[in-house]
Amino acid sequence: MITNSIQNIGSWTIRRVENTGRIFIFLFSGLLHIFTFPWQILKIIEHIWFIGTKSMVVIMLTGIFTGMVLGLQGYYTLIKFGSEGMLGSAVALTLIRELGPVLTGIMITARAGSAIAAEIGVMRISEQIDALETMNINPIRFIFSPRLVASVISFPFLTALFDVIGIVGGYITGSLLLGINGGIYIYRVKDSVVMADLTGGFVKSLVFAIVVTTVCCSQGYFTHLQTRGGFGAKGVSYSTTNAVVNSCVLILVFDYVITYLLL
Amino acid sequence: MKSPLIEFIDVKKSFGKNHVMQGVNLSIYEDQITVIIGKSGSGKSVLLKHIIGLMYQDSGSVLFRGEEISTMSRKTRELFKRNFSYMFQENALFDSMNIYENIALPLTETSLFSKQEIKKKVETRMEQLEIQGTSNKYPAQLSGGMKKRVALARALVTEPSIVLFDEPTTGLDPVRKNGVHAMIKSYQQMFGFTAVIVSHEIPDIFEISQRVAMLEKGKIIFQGTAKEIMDCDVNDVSSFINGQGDFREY
Repeated sequence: MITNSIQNIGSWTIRRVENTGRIFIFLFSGLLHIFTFPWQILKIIEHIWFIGTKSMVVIMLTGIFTGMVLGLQGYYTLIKFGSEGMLGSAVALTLIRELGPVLTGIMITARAGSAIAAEIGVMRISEQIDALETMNINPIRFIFSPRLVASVISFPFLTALFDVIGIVGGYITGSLLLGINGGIYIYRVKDSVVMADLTGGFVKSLVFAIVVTTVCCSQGYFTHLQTRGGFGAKGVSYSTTNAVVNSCVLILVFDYVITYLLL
Repeated sequence: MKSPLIEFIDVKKSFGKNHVMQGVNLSIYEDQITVIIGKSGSGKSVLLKHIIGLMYQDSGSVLFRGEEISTMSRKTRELFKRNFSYMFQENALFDSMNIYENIALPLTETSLFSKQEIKKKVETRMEQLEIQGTSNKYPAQLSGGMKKRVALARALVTEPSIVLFDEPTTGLDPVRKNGVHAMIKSYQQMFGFTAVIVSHEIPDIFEISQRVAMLEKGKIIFQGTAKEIMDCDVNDVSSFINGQGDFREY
């Protein structure tokens, strides 16, 4: 009984260490192959279209409603202290420092990350990745590197879009619906946001881009090595779920770590 | 006798408790067509994947021109792989690419041919395999037989010196099956490549093979010419090629 428990803990630990090592090697190999010739410009553009451009609508929708709800909640909280004029600062700082990068990361994971994990998982189980190896094409370079570059380019832009739309959302609620002076709202936004806030949000979006792409691509790539969720189509669905859950959890973990380091 | 191009020496491979190869000894010679036969699930595809380095043995040696494949340096392995093409049992075509892009992939990703040269090579292969007009279609839009021919075109487009075929004619009608066999034979004579074919097309496949090996219970139980296997009186061999035996074993 005790021996079995110790054995189980041991094998679980070994599996975790192996998985972590595999993902880090995957990441470093992907990073390295970004700089190997020939450049994969067309593929990068194609992935920017998929990860970035096609996520714009969902980011704008999420951004506007997040901003509007922040405006609403902020207004009724600040009015108790007679500080409703500070709504612009509250909305802008909350979005730029925290909610912008985090919600953008989570929404891209839901829209593009899951699709990436599923696509690569299917490539794995249908031997397409083996086919690349037999053609002497490095699968990590072919599959992961262009997506990594595309994410690193797309995430900051989408985060900026989320922030701007969110601030507009706050303006709609605060100024147009609840009657705060529009000039004051905009003045507070301009007055309170400093370069460090923007840099912090930018750094977070870059880190989230690397985390989400690495987790989603590696979950698909190593679908065949996981045994808990089943094989074939079930294995792909398990990898996809894992990719989304792990990405979202890691976004929140890294958000805390970066915030702690930046403050 | 000349030395083998590829040699398996006492190769063992297991997946958990499933011992797929239990001491395989096999010699494959240059410029010949070698056919591997055996029951479904006997490990023929696994054997093929050891040749190209998609899998590595638990013990024993797989040698290419006398050099162990599993211990080759990365650079040597890259050069080694340039000699090979592999046609997968389930085709392994890229669903998100059209047929032209699928066939051109080994050229666009690994070589320095111009777009025009690549186009010419791809179109030539498509014409030879009668799949012209499918360039802009996607694999999901083709029949099983058409996909097979696309996979074959992709395997041959790089003009490799060693081609590994994993059941190249499964899903094809008898006319196209014979066409593929004839094509493999004629290309093999034209370009002089070495072919290793896993096949169940007995006895048709013997027509084009110079050498036949049979895998049974994790071991090669026969190696020789097509004529020799037809005359073989070993029970496991003769009953298999005559389609006899206990179906419950499958």
